[in-house]
Amino acid sequence: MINFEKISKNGMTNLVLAATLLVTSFSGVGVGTPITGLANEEAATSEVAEAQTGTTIRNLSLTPGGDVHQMRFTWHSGSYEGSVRIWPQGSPDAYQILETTNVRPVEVHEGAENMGATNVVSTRDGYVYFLHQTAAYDLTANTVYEYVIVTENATSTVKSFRTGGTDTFQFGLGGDPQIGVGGQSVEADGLGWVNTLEVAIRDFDLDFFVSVGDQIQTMNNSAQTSQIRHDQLFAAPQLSSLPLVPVVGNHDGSGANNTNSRMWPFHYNLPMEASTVQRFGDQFYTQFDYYFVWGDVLFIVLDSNFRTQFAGNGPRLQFIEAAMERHSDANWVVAMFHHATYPVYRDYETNAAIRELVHQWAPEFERLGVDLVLNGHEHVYSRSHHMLDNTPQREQQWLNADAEIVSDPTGLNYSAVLDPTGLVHISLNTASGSGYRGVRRFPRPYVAVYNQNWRRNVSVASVTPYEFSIASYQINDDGTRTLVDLYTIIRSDEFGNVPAHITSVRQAQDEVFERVYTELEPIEADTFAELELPAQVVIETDIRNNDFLRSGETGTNRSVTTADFSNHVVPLFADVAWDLENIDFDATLEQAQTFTITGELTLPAGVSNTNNLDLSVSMAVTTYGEAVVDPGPELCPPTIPGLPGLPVIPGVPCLPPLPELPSLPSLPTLPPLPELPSLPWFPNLPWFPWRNRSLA
Amino acid sequence: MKRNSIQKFFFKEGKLQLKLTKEFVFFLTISLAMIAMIKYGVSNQIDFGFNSLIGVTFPTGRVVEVITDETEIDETGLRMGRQVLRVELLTGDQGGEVVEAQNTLFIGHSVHAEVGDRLVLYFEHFEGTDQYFVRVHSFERATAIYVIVLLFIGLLGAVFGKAGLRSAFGLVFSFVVIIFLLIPMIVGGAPPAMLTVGLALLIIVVSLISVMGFEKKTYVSIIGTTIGIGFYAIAYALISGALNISGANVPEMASLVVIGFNTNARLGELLFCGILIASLGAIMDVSVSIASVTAELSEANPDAGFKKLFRSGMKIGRDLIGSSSNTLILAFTGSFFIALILFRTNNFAYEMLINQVNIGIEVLRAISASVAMVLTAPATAVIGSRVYSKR
Repeated sequence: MINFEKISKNGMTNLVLAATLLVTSFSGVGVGTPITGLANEEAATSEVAEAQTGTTIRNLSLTPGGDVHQMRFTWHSGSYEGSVRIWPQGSPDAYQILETTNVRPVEVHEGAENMGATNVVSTRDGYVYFLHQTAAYDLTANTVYEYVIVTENATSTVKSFRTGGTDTFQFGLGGDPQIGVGGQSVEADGLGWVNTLEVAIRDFDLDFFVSVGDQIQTMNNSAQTSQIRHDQLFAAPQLSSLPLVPVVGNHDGSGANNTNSRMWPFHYNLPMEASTVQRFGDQFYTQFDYYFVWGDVLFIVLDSNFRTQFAGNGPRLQFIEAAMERHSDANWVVAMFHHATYPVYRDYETNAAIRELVHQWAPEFERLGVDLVLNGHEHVYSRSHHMLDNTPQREQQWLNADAEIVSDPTGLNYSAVLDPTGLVHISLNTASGSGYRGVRRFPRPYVAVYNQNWRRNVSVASVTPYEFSIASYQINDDGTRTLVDLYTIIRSDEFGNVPAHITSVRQAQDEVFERVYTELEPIEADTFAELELPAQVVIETDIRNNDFLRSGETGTNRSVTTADFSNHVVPLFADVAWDLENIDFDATLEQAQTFTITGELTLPAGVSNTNNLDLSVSMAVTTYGEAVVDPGPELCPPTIPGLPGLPVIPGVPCLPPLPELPSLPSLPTLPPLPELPSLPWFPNLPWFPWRNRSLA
Repeated sequence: MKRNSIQKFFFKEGKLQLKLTKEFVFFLTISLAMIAMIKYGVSNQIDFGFNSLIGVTFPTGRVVEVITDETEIDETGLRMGRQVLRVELLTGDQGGEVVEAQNTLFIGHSVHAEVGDRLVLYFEHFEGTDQYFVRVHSFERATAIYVIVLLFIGLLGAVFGKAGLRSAFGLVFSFVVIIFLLIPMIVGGAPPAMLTVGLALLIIVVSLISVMGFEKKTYVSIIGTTIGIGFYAIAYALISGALNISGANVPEMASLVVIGFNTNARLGELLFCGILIASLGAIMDVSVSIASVTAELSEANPDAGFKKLFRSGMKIGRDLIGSSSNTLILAFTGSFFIALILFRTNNFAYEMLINQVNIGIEVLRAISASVAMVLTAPATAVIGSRVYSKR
């Protein structure tokens, strides 16, 4: 036992030091492992790189231009020379050559050793690759084009793409591929991304694909890792024929020394109609705001890393207003940026970025009449209510399965809305499976739907002049899709009515017919000619039979789902051709006849009858033929007030009406209760000179 | 009071005389050290290069006129809507100018401005033009905060005299160490756990010496607290291992990870550090109480032996722990209060909740700190009894 008495002051100090050392040696035990976020991605090079010949073409991608006559190309090649030879499909002689300009070595700026450096060239396997970018400006709308990339001594295989221009089209959406964020290996992220694109193209006919930010996770620890991640992203072969619409996210560039997104120009080819509003004093960084038009839709893409220079008629807002002015004939206006204004993972009250979006961006979009906002960043699927002045507009003109306008004060039970008030914000889950977030902010007043099933998501938007719908799917491990949410905004037609033909263009192409939804009630009419047979019925398919939201796994920090949306039916009409020939109706009879009339359904586009169900419908009809209309039996005056009288029976007198019952005496009113004094928790003391202004 | 000490230090019989007592040297050194730390902390900013608020300043303004007020109290009891205000700027380059400010009220931003209010504004000036965008950020609270803090220190001084001011000194020192030394060094890449333990010791030593002076009981409580920190580390290791929780599970990890890429900061240890700082006060509390009591007991009872002192110390400790363990648990529950309400109203399954990471983190926080507190009591009692017993 230590004899404290004998220890001098110095000894005391020694003891203190010894105790300190003892404690500090303990403090290393059991403490969390250092998080550096690095995964084993150095080995990715072998997967991505092809045989290095110096003329290899890689990282090929297309970007839509400012309008449908434009398409922009980007690729990396070992050779300095490069061009695109492009021709309309079927007319290889009508080709044009697009030369690349400003060819320069691909640079990488991230990496601790490169901070502040301006010309640091990336190499793959020791080879330097050059950036080639060019664009075609006079393409015809709605045409398939074929092209090859021509380099010094090699020509790529023939690839093709289709320009936009119809008012009815579909496009794909994915959120946060964020390749390399660390949830799984970089290669797994890349494979997930490629598989998502594969599934999307396999099942849908897409015009382009939007990635809503965080395409990769930039790394500062190593110069080349960011390049490797971009390589994984562009290794998807689909990108040579499916234009990619990039939105800049917070992980697409690191923050050190203003290198933010400096790699962006070496991988994406933004339309000329990009905003050149620059950040103060930073000659390298340009805000990545741009817009493009496809069909009748104006897409506005913004850099939400910086929320300034917008509200109050800032230069970026002026850029958007000019774009909307220039394309004022657009049917739909969609805004896309990375950060979600109405989150289910992040903190709505205190997160600075979200507060700025709420204060400065959302009101401007609402004022401009933007139809829809698409975000990512949360790695969770969520859809807000239509928001106006930060207030959820739950009561809308909701449409039920019969395309009738119904009322729903909760705003949760229907998936189709007619001419909505306010702006809906949809935030997408990750497309590559690189990382998921749990739903952390308990159901918020602004959230209509949220979902987290820890699976990759892909969304498909379908656009017609009257409908804009977004269907989001999770991709299951076996490659099948399960619907997560479906939402449709419907415009009334020129007469202010629900459009007559709400089509199923938005639906999946493998939607399977299941049954007729409309209850075909018996109808009757006075004459056969006056029969109003329904020209269409509502049908149900396998998509709409499912609950939209499913319970996810439970476990640590895995909280999910809410409501049962089994009555989420969006009207899907099928035409009916009634057989008016083979009916059991005798036009010469002068009395009521009831017979059955059958019709044949014509399934709308996109719905197939894989189960070979009977497409006939039948309905009971009563009509009176051409002649006399039966007036009906004679009735006595009513016995019970409110009900029809009994029929007259010859020889039997009618019953007299019942006497009026005396009214019950009213109960005595209670005397008013005395007023209770208010509890003295917060007295309004006379000497308390001010009150808490944070209370209402 | 301070004046009296200064007078006592510097003047004796009317003549200027510096009395270089241990205390004087101590307070002077620590004050200089604090200034140095502040300088270090302020100057050693790592520029992450990602300033999304370039061109934005936050001046204070006074509301001169409410131009429009379209707000109303909705069914939740909060006032929502929009205001347009005319505000006179009081600070910044545009001081004196009168500008128009927007103010949107919603959940989390219920700033309902009236004429005469002092507000902090988000002021953005578009470069190259004379246009600007102003909106209301919050009520101006800074002056009130300074006043409240000063009044608190004054209260300490008024109630406890010199000792109160000394404990305020210790408080300020702790604050300066954490903000200007610990955080910058962690962000700069120093190993967080060892650094926090070292700085915690520094805080303990300075706080205890400044309140109790250079006495035996001070040393006893310093050692007791140090041992308490050791117990905390062991408890943390055991509990976090059993619960499968590490610093990597904190909800803020998503944002922290971005910092990790830019620096060499080791982020998994930050949970350990956070809980240590939170519970340091309580551990010091227990240790000081027992050391003081043991000292007083031995003064009142000079013949008291080790066993008697130890037994008395433990009796005090028993009463103390009753309320001290409540301190920590209730403090953590209080901060968790709103979340508890949300848990209850959402009808979440019990099995889901109890196994969630954030519940586990709260349990880790409360229990590891409480274990440290509980074990500090006998440790300090043993040391105190040893030191003060004559046999």
